Amino acid sequence: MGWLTAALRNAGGARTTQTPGGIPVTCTLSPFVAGGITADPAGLRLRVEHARLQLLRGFEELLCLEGLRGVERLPHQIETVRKVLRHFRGRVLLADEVGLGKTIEACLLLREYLLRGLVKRVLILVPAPLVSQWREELSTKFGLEFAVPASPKPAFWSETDCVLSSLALAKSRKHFDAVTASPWDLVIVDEAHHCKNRATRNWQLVNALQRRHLFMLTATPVQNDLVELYNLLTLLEPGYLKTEGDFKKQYVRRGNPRDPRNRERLRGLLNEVMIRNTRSLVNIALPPRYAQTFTVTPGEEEARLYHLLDSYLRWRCADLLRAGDDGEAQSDGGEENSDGLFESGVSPKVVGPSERVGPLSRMQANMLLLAAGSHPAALVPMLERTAAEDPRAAPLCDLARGIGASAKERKLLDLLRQNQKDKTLVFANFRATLERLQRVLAEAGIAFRTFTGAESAAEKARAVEEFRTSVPVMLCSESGGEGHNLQFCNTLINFDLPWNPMRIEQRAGRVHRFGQTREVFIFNLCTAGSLEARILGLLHDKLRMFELVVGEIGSILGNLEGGEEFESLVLNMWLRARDSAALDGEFARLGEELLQAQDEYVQAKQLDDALFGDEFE
Amino acid sequence: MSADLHERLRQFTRTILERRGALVEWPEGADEGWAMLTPELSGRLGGGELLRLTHQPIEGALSANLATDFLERLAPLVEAEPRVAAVQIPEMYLKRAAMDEPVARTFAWLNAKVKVTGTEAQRVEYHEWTFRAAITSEDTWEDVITVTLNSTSGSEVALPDILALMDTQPHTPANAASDTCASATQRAAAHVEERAAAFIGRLESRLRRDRKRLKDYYNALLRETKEGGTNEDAEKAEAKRRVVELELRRKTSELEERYRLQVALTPLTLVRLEMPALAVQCDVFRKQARKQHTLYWNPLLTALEPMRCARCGAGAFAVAFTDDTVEPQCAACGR
Repeated sequence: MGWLTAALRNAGGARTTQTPGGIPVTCTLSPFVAGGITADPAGLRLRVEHARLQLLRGFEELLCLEGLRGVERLPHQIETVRKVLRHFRGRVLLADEVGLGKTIEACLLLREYLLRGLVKRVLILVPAPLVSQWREELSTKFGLEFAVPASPKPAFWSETDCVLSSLALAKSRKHFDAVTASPWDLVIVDEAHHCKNRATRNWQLVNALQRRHLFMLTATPVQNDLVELYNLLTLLEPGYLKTEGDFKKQYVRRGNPRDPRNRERLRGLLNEVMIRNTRSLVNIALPPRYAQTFTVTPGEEEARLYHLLDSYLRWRCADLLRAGDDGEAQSDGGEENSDGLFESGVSPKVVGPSERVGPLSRMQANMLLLAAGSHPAALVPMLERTAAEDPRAAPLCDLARGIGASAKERKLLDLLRQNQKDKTLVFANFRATLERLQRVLAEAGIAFRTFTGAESAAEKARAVEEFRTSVPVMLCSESGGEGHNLQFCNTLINFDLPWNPMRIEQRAGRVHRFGQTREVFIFNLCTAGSLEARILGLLHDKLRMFELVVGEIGSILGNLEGGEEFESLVLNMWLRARDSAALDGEFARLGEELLQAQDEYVQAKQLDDALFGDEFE
Repeated sequence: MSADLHERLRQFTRTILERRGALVEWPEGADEGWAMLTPELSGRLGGGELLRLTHQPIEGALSANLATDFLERLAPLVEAEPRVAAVQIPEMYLKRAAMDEPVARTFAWLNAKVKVTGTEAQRVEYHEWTFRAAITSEDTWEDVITVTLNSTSGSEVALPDILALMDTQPHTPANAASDTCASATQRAAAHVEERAAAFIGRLESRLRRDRKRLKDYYNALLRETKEGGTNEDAEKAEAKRRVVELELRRKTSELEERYRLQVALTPLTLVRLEMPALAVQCDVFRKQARKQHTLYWNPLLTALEPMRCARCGAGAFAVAFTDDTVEPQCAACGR
């Protein structure tokens, strides 16, 4: 009797059947529900044909490509997906050079596996600063919703099928056991070079995870020495490169752990478990991009608004700061921080003690600060809501409402008038800011279209077409232009600035992408002394972010120590700092950390370029 | 997609929509067409009364393309189709000559004497079962398997595709239920084993390689632990050894789990074909025992059908018989 016949007989029984080679077999036989009988076999033919057509869905026909939103389907990415499906059987180190779309490849693969029913439980581990970027891309581009745990109960890990977590959270003492106790069909580790050292909890976490498939993503698999590569591949296929001692003996030159021996043999072995697309291999190059920041000085009323708002927020956030997760971040209390309000004469007497009004949440504080960085008009609706629960905010609201033209909008008009020949994309974060800019441009007689993401598909298409053919300016919200080719435009103005550098990169990516043939110009507008000005000081002046290759900022942020997202870092710095000088100090410290992260990245990149060369395939 | 596949998908789309009452205009070779749907159909497929049909994926259209959710969208319509058909062939020529010589020429009796005692024209029902078979492991394998059984003898017969036969007529079976499902499943399982042999072979060799790799790796780690033990205290070395052993066990069981085969057999359709056949009665003499068996001469095959092995269910022309019960067995089972 054959192994399958035996398994069929044993279906549901306690005995395990095996193939002759010792693979355990489980068999499921679906019952046949006959229903009625027909004399016309055509319907049966359709049933059989339907089943046969399903067979044709080999990996030649990728299911993941249908229904994507705003994803460029680059040939090397599709080829990588096919390769992983056919030859790598779900365990691979994706080591494309930065900017070639490792994340896209991983998400395409993930989607393919999910659509084919090959995986159900998926865990994605990424550095904390990249969590929101991943969540957004999974959702908006790939239609995949992942749960992001903040402070989950142990059951969360076993009860939730699709989890996107920071590596820091998953490896924490509190969650390590629960994460590793649950079996996962697929685990994806982004910036996997953080698992280069077997003595770290990162490595131990990934090693301890029960998983069928594993994708590890990194542009720099070797940071310092070749043993790191060995450690990564041991996570993927334990024993593939034998023991560390054997590996060193075979492939590492004595005295220089960065220099491989038997290079060709090692490359042959790596070919079986690693894919590395390089720019020269896929023949993709982007034109350069140039950025310029304009820091404008606010008018008297505008400056007063920001100063008062800062004081008010510090007062309202005093308790939040005390309750915050940073033990060192202690404030001296609300009264002192509310000095600005008292000095201003903004009717403090109408309100009772601060205890009557609860502290603002982090989210509220974050949004108010972001709105302040955008335009007074963006502050008005938020302050109205705030004033509804705390009348002390009402004067601020009146003040914001009374401000006419902001300094930034005057600069915007200057820029647009100077740049009349080229198409210009203007980004603003808030609907109220966009509405204000619509009025300003209309009054100035500058033709424009608006793309906020709220329009119908036809309206969006029409707006883009008019922008391409006849209108010089397009006003965009964060999601603006998504899914449309805007490469005919090569000038971008950030009227305001998201705090997350990945979002800034995303904005630039609307025009600085494959298909762009001209140099790209990015103009950033910020108000002197604002948080945005400080962020730009870090990203533009220190990191030279806009001169980096697309995607490099993600790798640098991924190298930042700690488990916080960038926005959260900025807010915490603002909460900790009691005055402008202290805030400068905080930003200077973050700047040093970023530079160090950048150094690490650059060194690793140089080493990897030397190791794998341009033609690794 | 190839032109052949385009055509196949077009025909499939057209047929299934027309069977549900739609008016379809999609000529052969055209990139796209239209279907005017019934309210029920437009409710099921979404969209309006007029549905655009295309090969290329286009928003709002039904795209006959395997890289889209085309098959999933049409699955409920397929599900509504019948699973069982019953047809008959009223008349067929049956062999009239004596059957002794054809029986002797067709069968090899391995351990018994067989004597033809008579022939009789009968109406026999043949059951053509179609299964979808899927093996999921570290890799996947799928196929559609057809098994046709003579419902009287239970033997598997290699009939031509019944669904493609011309000149069949409606048939009302005497019994509504069919009792050949279990035998057909057994035969389908045997076919899966044959067809997936190379696939299973590849999996087995990969599993062997991976098992060996794991074992070598962790054994080497254990050796290193022992060798490096001179400087460490014994307790530490022992703890390390235990950790390595534990991890080997965990990784091995993970590996076994990854390769575990999950086989799913799903019966899709049953076609019951009633047609004339010539029953050939035989006396089988095995040692002191004797039993009467019936062989069938099939007019579609114009040949004798194999006997069904009482042990494994396979069809056999080289037949051995059991000593006491004189049951037929194939050469492999009779050994």
